[in-house]
Amino acid sequence: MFKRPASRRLRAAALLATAAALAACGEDTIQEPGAIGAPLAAAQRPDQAEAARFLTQASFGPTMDEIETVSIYGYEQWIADQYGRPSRSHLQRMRALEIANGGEIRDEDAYESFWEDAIYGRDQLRQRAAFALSQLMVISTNNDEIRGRPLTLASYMDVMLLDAFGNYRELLEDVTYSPAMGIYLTYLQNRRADEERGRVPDENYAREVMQLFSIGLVELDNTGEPLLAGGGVQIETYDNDDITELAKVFTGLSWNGDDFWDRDERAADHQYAPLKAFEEEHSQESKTFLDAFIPENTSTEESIRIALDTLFNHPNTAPFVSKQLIQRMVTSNPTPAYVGRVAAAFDAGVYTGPSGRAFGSGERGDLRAVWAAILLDEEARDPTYVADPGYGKVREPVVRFAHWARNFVPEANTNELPSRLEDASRPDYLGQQAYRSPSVFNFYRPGYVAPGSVSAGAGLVAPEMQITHETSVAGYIEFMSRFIQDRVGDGYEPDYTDEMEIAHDISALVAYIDLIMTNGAMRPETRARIEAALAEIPIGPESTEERDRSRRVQAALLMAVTSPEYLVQQ
Amino acid sequence: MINTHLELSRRSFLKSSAAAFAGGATMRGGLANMTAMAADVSGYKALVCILFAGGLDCHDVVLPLDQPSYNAFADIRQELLTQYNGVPGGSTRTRGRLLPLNPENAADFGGRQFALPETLAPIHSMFENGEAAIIGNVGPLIEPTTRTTLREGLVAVPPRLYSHNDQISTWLASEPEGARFGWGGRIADFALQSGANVNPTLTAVSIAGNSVFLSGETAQQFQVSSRGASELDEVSSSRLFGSEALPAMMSEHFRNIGGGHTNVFQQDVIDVTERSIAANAQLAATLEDEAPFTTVFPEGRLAGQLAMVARLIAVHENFGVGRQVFYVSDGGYDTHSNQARDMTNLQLGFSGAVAAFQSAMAELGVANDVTLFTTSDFGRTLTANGDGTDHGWGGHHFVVGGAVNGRRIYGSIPEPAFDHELDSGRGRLIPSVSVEQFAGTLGNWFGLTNGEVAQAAPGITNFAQRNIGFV
Repeated sequence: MFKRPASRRLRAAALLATAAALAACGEDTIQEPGAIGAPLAAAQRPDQAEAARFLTQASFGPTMDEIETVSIYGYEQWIADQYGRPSRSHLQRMRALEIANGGEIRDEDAYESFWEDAIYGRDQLRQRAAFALSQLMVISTNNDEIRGRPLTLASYMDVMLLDAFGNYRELLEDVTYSPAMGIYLTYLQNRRADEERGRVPDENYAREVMQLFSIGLVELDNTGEPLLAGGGVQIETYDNDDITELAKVFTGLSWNGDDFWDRDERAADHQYAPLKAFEEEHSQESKTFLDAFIPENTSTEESIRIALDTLFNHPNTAPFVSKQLIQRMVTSNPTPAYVGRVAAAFDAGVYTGPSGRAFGSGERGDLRAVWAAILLDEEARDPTYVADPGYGKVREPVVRFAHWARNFVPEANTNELPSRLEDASRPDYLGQQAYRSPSVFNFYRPGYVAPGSVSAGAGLVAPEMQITHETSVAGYIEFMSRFIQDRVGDGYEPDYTDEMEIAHDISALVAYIDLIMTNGAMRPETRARIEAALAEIPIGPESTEERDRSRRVQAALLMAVTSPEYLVQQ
Repeated sequence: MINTHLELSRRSFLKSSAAAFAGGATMRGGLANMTAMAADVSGYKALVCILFAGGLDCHDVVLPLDQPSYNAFADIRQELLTQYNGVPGGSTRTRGRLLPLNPENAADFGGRQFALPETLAPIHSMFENGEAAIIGNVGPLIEPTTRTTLREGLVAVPPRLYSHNDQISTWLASEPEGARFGWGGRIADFALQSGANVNPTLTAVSIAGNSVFLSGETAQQFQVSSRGASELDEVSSSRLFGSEALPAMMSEHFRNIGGGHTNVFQQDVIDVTERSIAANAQLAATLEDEAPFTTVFPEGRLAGQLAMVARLIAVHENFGVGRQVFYVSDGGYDTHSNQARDMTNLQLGFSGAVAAFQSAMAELGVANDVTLFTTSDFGRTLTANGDGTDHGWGGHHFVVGGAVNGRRIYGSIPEPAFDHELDSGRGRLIPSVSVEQFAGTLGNWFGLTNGEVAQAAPGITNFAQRNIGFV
């Protein structure tokens, strides 16, 4: 069982201290491959394509360096190494920037920070895991109250990063006490009922913390499949009485000030310090929901502790969370057995890899066990699953762009943030941006079925198809084309020097791009089509040679990132 | 491992699934008697669906005006009304500032009177002019339901009530999340079967992203940006990467002709891309650079979407379509907090956008051919939580257009009180008109026969009155 710190305040202080500690590390140390452990025996090594496929699931996309690291040291040592890597704190960076800019700081600065770490962070697994969690526990600047609070946004981004390798119970708590979620789901300054004035507690968080963050709407078995009552009817996990009761729990929280009604401007840390409990505004009534009973006159923090323990310990939580995290990384329609294995790792708090290495502390909810279970499972690793026409997932647009940039944009070229990256969620851009979805339901739903599609006909869900339509597919092509061709204004200029050196050898160039972009899965028809197109771009004499070589690389990349093998990861 | 033996090609799969449906019990009658009961597709008609995403607070749309009802309302919502006092320009919810509704069927409501807030002034004018109707307390139902039958468990109710995503899906597609067919698409199917559209591509058009509402068996949603056609420079330019051959090769690549992909998701993205490239080229060639009307739409998300709908309607003849269904959406209606500020802005945006749209329709001479209606996840509680309200069930909606039997209130406007027969608790209204009755009425106007309506909105057979008569 996961043990709680005795006091909320201690936990809050610990969280801020962690952020500070991360910041103190400054630039993370570059870890040489040798530091990971021992190279695998040649026979045990994944080949380069297999390594690239693993990195497609576990990072913001493979690069040649990471492919080599994984193919030498193997998946398990790579994961273990990633678990030990430090992260940078977005909040600390924002605060430093605020000072440097004389108090001026914008949401776009936090987005810039997101892109930089997603693309250049050496803690790639943590970055990708945090991105997955951010799509489960959603906040968004597409909201008048979150917009314009970059410190609040950055502190929430830190919660995702810090707790990505922590415990899910801890994550639930840090999210609940975060000012970002308090604002977004409107329980910040939520007050107890006042019968005289006809006021009842706001139900927003009570509903969504159950529906979206923990147990979901219907009872599940331990493989994530709905349990059925007589007549094949699904069993709903809660009713509206549970909501009105749980709503009382989330009353009495406000900014970290002296008074419940203090505004956030008064003290600098209000925008990011964990929310503070004010007993005079907390419901003193008893609270009865699910199988929990909280007696009257229980304090805010104790009520929340009991409520979150109840949700965390519900049998739905492990399969409900596990399935969605698999969908974010590996495949949209995992088999029940796969979900069951990951949920078992969630419950056990530990997962033992094929080589015998254990991941996780053994405390239920340890996410280090969960990520290892997701990535090392045979359904993620065994390439024979790829032959199943229903395997895989539409690659998330944010991951696609970050992947290209990881390979072709030198970090030195990121001093300016192109406006397209400030809000790439427009359907004529990427159609997605971290922390900017239309609502708490993310850009897409885990149960989305694309109407009129082949996948729907096969009875499959396709979450990312919810943002795939006639406008967004064209928008994506244009978006990538402009970046690839260096036509977006200042910032993120690509450098193709290495690839240009092999541009005269069309098949070598295409083979290389196939490996790093499509993990060697490009169909022969696609490769032939790209090679034929490149042949139409002759490499001229010295005066035009550099331009022509660059054109070949750009054309090959544009065709690779728009190929079905890229748009859908398998 | 599932689906291991899924080896059907997508073409044969789609064909066979369509055939399987056509052979099903519900469709058999319709196809067999097609000449006898085919949809009337003469002339031009369009339906325009607006989704208020987040759950529209119906109690803050149609307000009570007679003194006793207003007093009861003001007492229940005193905290929220206090918030309205702080809105710039003062409260639009004080009784003296409300815009009285004078429905022709006022007698149906006894001595009760209703009003719209000033923020909906253009809608109020349309109502008084007979161009708009109010459908009171409409929402998802399986069968007629009251507080008593609900409490005693005598009726089936839709699953996952009060959940946003599931109730949007239930409103628009009769099932929770994961639904595959919406009633907008099903209605369009029957128009297509009757040969309404020479070119089916722009039969069901969304300006607001993917919505299951527009998906039928044959009708397929097409998404158009409010910015217009999404044409690809890489395809339409004369040269690419210095080569004249490349635009055509790139087009072939994007559309993946003969790519041999068997993965179902790869086939799905290929299909969308094919449609995008083909239809956007046509759109780019057909849509005028300037709107073909003098009406100027206001700023705003909804206005931008409706302006594009108007521009598409203006050129419908060029696309060979006689029946169209459009879908637009505006978010921000989940007013758990800051309702006074947010509803003010949302209602101003909505009413200004619809006023401009109606004006454009009049200019184009199609005001009688286009019917616009509103939908939402659900209504909200009558009880306030301080500065907002929580998820409800039934809600009040508008239907606007020249064909509308306007200046009437259909359905019910329950009193501002608790524990009556249409209160499921805290003023979450139990609908008195089902979504299927609402959809069926619109379907009849669109030209569908009663038999076709019963297939497009199957649940309608549980209700005695299949056409509410508002259009």
